[in-house]
Amino acid sequence: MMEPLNIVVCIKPVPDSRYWDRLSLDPNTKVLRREGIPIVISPLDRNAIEEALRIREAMGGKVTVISMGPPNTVEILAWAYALGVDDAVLLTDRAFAGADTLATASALASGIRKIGDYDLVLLGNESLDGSTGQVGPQVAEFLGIPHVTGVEKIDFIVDGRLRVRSKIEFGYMVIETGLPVTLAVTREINDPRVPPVFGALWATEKEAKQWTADDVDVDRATIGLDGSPTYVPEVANIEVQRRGEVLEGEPAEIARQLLEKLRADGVLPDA
Amino acid sequence: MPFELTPAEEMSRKIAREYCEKYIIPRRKELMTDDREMWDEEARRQTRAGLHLHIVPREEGGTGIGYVASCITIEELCAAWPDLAFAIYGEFAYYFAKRCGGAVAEKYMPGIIKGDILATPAITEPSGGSDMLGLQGTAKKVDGGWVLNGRKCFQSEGHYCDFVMALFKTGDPNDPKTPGARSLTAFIVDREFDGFRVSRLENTLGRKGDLTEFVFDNVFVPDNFVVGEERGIGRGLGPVFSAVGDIGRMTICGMLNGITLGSYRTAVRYARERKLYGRPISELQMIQARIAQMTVDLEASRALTYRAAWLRTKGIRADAEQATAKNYAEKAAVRCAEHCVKIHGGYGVVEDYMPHHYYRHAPMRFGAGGTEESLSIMIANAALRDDANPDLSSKSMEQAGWWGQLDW
Repeated sequence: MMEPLNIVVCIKPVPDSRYWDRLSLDPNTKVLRREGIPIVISPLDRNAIEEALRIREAMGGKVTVISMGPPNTVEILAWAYALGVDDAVLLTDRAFAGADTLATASALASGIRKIGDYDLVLLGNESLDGSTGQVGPQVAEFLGIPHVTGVEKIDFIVDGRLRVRSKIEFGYMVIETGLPVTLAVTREINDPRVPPVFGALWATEKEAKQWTADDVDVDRATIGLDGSPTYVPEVANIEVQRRGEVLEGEPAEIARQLLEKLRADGVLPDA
Repeated sequence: MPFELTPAEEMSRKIAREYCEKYIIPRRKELMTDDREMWDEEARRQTRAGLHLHIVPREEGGTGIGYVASCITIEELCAAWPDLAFAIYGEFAYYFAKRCGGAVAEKYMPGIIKGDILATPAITEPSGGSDMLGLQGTAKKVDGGWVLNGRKCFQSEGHYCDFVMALFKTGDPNDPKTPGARSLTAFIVDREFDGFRVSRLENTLGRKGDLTEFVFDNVFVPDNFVVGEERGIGRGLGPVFSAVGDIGRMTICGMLNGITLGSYRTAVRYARERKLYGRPISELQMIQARIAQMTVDLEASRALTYRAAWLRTKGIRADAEQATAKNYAEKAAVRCAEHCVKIHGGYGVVEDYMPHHYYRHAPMRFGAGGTEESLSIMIANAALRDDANPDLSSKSMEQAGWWGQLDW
């Protein structure tokens, strides 16, 4: 039996990679300077939305996206509407600010609980900027449901059970689980669509719900800066300096010199 | 006039841009080698993605966002690759079927909305296109329809089109019964009609096999495929001119602005990256001057185009405005493509880089949608009419007369 599913997709705003040449780090706060850089949906979250839309197209149901961030995050929710999601929620409040992955997951889980009646929670395996890969499992723990990470294929969803393939080093695992479940997806799972032209209407005629910390049932100690057990003590730009060196002589001589130097630097084993 | 795009228009630009980033830009190398497969794939993909649906009202299955969104979409497509804008032929198909109604709409409209059907006008003959009364192609009345004979040439992408709107002589312009333009009738000709064929593909400045020649060899067209049916006989110029103005000229403006935008983006990026005398060439004032001129051209050309498109979205005839926009856009595109080539130095003329392609494709749009000369006549006629008011901005040609007086 194929039952319609209620799917919630967590999406993260990240700086648009088209403008990465303008990104820099603030040496004092250790935070990325993002002024003037447009935001987009983190790429793997696009895969999560795509998978949700495909499941809805096959089985019916509803797709709701949720994100946390400052008010301008509605831009990526508009883009989600353009892609064809049914509903969009933004958690936006100063109380959510300064969150690490755990506090973010707590906030998202409270939003998902308020959306209610969910069968499947999807999100990208990791974000483009932070790349911790922690939020998926943490959201699942806050919701008290199982999770699978590295999902590269959903084999089937039947009678409240599903089977997925999870990517691991040198292969994959096949995992069967019940619903509800959280799946963190990889880029292999699908090829995300370009929004259809009608997306221009959906994006501009639908409006995301905006919830503050008061609108959701959440322990204040678990969100924002207070709910964040980790902090970033140091970040640094890694600058790779090239060492220009000119070798001279006949080709055979140059080759011999090059081999010697590579051995001396430990790049090649000793002869 | 509001000097901002609507949110839906802004969004349609983002969608078109993402379409290009997924389907066109990664495959530029193939396009550079005239790989036909890419065009064959793209010919239907754009319309199946609905990129032609902005001019189609919502109640008919389109987005209804309007002509500005159409111009923006085509601008983005042509900034990605300067002549890859098949959405145009979906728009033509809709425009023709909508104007014809009846059997033509019944046959084609569902496929047009789905994006399976493309069409193009067929006006220009080997003897020329601006002098329409001098057309040589003939149509003879027979039982139940007409028989067409003639050749039509220089039709962009004609070999991908499922039907054409062709202008033929059904009378003698010197005969008082069919005077002047009353001698011309427009016909819908399906590519499957006996005697109709694509006779050759021309190799152009743009690419190989870009322009098409059609042969009409005793093609029988049923009465209900005459544009305007019985009333349309001798009234072929109106629908053809409207299509060439509303779709042809507006989309050509979009294409030209795409070349301008593509040249601008490419040049700005290169100027910031390329180092000379130990610093980026964007710090050289001579380069800055070129960038500034490109910016002025892009802004001016877009403003003229969007205004004409905005008027059409409002349902106001805008022949003079469309003519003005195209007249400017073609010069802007040529200038900007040249700046782009020059900023790139030697790389600018190499086939592996985009400036070469923007520069080569800009002249491809000189004739389409009206030559500079014929557009100048339209603009001057509008400006010099007795009731024209030079203190106001240009008025639509409907008020100014001329083509506007020709009804359907």
